Amino acid sequence: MLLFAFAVPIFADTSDTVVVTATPAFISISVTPATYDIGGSGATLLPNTTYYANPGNETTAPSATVQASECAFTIDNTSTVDIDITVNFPHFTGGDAMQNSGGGYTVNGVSDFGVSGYVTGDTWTDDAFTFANSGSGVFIDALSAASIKFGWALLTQSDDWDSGTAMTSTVSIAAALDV
Amino acid sequence: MKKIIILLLAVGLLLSGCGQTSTTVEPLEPPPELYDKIWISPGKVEVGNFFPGARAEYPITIHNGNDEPTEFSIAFQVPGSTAEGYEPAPSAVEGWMIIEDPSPVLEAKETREVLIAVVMPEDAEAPAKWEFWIAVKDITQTGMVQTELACRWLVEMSD
Repeated sequence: MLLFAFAVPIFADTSDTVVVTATPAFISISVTPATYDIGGSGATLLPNTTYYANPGNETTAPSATVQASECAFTIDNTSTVDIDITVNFPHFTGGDAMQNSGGGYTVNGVSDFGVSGYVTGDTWTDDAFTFANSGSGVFIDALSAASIKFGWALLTQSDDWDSGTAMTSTVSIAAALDV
Repeated sequence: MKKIIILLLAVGLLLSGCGQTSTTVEPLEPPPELYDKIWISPGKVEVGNFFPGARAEYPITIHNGNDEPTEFSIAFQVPGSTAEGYEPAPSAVEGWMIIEDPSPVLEAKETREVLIAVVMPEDAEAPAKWEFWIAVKDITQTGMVQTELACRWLVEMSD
């Protein structure tokens, strides 16, 4: 009787069975450079001004068709599968602590900045992609096992600085399996 | 006889505890060129026939390609975009998560599994299909631009 009681779960109705299936891909990326100064090394930023992650030309917009040389960053996808890249650009801390407007590089305000990304080959400005404080959508879809360069355009807050001291934001580049 | 009964009792308890989860995985070895990289696996975990009161679990594997011990963070994340047909997980799901070790320190070149489980309360509700991410980040990164790697969990509720 005891044996029967414990045998029952083994043959239980499978409608109560949770099915877990894993796709064993390996997800791996690197981004260079990791350190970056908006506006260029040692630059003092102006309010209500657009700065581009465009090496050596930080106040110059990329070409109508974005060139690799106009992109400050390189993502290497070393995964075994295609991946989606999402980029979150959080609010700054320290100094004037600019907040991300979430509206992209054309939308700033009092204490608010806006930022959008672009990749090599994009049509500027049509393909500008908004980087949000959190919960951004997919910036690069189905990136294969290769490198791609990207940059951003950042419009600083509309009002004058109060503190005049440095502020920082840590930009998150996330990789996930393309589905 | 008494020992046999106790043994069968233990086996019965073990099997009854496992009876609510069926796990499928296709084994795969990481390519050698990833030895010096940080990687995670799997890329996606699909949970089917989930229901209030149920538990689903699967380990995430993390490899530390760095040459020194490295601390990682493992965290629940609501994705900004989801697979077609799925909704972002309700924020309450964060409270349903069990992460065996949310801040593991891996030795250089170490590969380690960390168990992830989601346990839905009996009285909870969720969309028919929902998605969350388990994000893994090397927290020794110091630059303005930092990377993280995410495993997608796609959950489909039973009818």
